[in-house]
Amino acid sequence: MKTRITRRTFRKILESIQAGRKRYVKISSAHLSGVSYLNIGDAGLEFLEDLSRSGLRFKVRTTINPGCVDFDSAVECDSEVVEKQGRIVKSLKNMGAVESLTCTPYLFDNPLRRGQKIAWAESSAVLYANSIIGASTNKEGSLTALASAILGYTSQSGIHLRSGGNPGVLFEYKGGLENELDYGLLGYVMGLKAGAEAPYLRLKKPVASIPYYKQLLAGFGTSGAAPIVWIENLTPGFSRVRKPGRKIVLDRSDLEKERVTLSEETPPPHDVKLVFVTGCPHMSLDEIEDFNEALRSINRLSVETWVFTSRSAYSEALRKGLLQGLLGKGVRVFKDSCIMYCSLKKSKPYVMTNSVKAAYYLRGSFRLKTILKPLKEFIEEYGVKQHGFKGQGY
Amino acid sequence: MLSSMALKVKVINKGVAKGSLLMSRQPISFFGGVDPLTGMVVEKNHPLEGVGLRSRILAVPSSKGSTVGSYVVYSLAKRGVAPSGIILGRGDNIIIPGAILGGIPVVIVDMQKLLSLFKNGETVILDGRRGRILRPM
Repeated sequence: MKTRITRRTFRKILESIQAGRKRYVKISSAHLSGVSYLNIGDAGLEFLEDLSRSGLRFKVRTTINPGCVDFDSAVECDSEVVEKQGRIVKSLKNMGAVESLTCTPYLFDNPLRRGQKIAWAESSAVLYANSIIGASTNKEGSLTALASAILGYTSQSGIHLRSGGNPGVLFEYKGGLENELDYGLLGYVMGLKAGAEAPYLRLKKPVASIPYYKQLLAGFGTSGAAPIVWIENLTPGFSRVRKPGRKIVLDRSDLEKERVTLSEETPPPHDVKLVFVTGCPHMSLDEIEDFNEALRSINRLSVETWVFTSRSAYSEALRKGLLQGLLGKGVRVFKDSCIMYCSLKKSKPYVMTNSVKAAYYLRGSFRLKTILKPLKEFIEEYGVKQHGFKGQGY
Repeated sequence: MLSSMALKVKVINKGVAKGSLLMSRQPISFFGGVDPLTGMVVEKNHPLEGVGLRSRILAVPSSKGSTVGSYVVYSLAKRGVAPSGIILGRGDNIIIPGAILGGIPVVIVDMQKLLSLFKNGETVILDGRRGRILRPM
């Protein structure tokens, strides 16, 4: 190979994707995807190790997405996967990354303020940063986010242009929205219908629940292209933005049509295990607290239940005594990793989840069967009230 | 004459390469579709399945699939099994970053013109300095 990796290499990458233009925007924060060994493989590991040896370092605060292993409970993972995941994290740390290993860096590890220009990968975090906090980032790819972390700037395109993030299509939703799953499905449907346009969302009866919007945005990020959803009465600056002329009206049947493509209608066969996973995107401290509260009335869950959260939220929850309650009821809490977990790829269970994004990727990339179920319904169906008394359900 | 056979191109990553032309109308996925150790196309039913990319001038309309493909292009270059030059039909955010990392010249052309002027397997020079593709003297 002829070249050595330098800052110039990354400048050329940013240039090439804006067709040779050389206009840049200074950024103050970066977040990287392409961290999981199951995603980037040996080629990605090799590249990151070469890069970390090149002497280049991150210029701005840089956090990283989850890997595929919880290093404290990695027993079910192949030792090769654990070792290689560890090397990826080490390379990124060497370059100055915060060992956040989360898709919700905005909560603890990489806090943002309104108006801040940043270069983030990880679609759900991008949508959250722009739509909830009012920061400004395009949906960066793994390599462009890496380039921006090293250079301290990103290409002046998309949302960084004057009217770059403005909405191009108005969505009105006429049906009911009862839980986080409905919100996730609505986001997913909007993504399918919006094309490249940023949507402006008007709800009949908006709720004030951030976890619901988190699911809406993660669902949108899964199927859509735009980096922002303008949510009426929530997104900073929503009242000043020009409302789009083009309107799409959605109702419950639009959600149902997509739900069946992501959810099995029949329970798993008797020889196939069922696992419930939640925390995609990673559960916040508040969500852990709510989950804890919702489990108060039951003794345990009759189905193996996995919760994913960030390392930072995990230690906070531990300190506040929230984890002990979950663990006591047989819930496993994972950090540093996500639902695309090493052992799920091997053991091929049916996965039940309240996350549309999780279902989409578990089906697409891991080829697993998934069942969509909101958290509250799951607890009602699989919660065991007294010892020996089995809940209903599959 | 020679100059009349040169096809003008847009240079994306500078450099000059010579090799036998490997053209496909199908986009290519480097992640999953190309063996990163050998540079062999392994995607089932791809027109280039079973063909090695090493030292070829690869011409495809674009990439497809996972963005991790960038790392595979880099890895191929590092092992010396990458194409010596890449011709694309349009801008592409997987192959181009990978080629820049791996030091592989990349140009963009009108694919229809390329297909009508050159034959698969013939030796060409990709002149990513002066912006043209031509047959060697």
